[in-house]
Amino acid sequence: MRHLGTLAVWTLGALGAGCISINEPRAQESLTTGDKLRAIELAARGEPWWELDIHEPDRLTSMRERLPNWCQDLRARLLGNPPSMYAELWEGRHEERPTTVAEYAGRGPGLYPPVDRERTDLRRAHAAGLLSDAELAELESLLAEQSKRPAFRRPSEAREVFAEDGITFGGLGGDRGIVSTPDTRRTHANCRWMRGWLFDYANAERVVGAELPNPDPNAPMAKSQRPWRNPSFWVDPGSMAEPGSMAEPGSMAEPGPPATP
Amino acid sequence: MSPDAPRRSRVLALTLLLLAPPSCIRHFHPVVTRPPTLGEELLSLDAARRDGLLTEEEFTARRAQTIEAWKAIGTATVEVPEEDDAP
Repeated sequence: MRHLGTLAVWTLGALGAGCISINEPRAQESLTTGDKLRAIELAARGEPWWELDIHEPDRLTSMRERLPNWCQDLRARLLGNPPSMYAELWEGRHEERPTTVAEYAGRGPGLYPPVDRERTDLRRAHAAGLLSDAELAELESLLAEQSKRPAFRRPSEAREVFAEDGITFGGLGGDRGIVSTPDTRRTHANCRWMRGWLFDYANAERVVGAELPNPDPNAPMAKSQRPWRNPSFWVDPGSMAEPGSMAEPGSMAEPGPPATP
Repeated sequence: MSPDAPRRSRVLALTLLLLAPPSCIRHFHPVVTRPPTLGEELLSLDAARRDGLLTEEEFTARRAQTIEAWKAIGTATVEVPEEDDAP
């Protein structure tokens, strides 16, 4: 009976306050550097043009002429900047307020990939000869330390939003559907990433003096496209900024020196 | 406590939720963007190298940078924007 009373008081209180908030975080993983290099290669060969949905012949011709230069520039930017390994939490569409750290920590998926998948992939890389025995041992030890911060990493994930290869499209940029197979999904993600960059290059050239919205292609997927939404908060491993300060989006391209774990 | 208490709690909660105006229930859909796993990143770099998309020197440099960046995750700070400056 006591439970019944507690539940009734809680529910009435929530209703009396005017709302019940249901927080349903989603996750999207950035493409790997290899994926991005492959997308650039495909674009240089002209293969993903079917995705571009450009109907003005003059504009299409102009973009095709500039494509080799854009691809060369994008590749140089990608490899010329350090890789990004930070996570960000973004507001969803049509929301009145950002998600707080406390809300996210309690209900959201891990900010970083789950421990079990991270460990499995480390061992796959080791089996492929990409990590030495000593490196694997060190990295697994660090992973165990990271997993002590549950908002960072969950032990595992079973949420539907996390596809097999970690790429989902819900809520970012308008593509709502999840394509059926991992390969198709990855190809689709590569095309979306590249298409965003091609439009950014085209728009930057149309306005004299304009620059790319985000010059670093190592940024997470949402930031490599237009800054359409404010981050609620972000976790930046390389950041040396004071807690509470907000870096400009461009400054995310230049993370500070890596901290000592 | 009555054995029917949990069931009655659920019925009561459901009734109250159904009585609530739709505007009282607000859904939030924050999106987290995060990096791939370190192993996946290294494997993709290796595949790109084997396909000729990356030179040996570029692979070596990128591999080292990626591992260092990953190691720093454990010391990451959480930064919260102070004000809304949506575009």
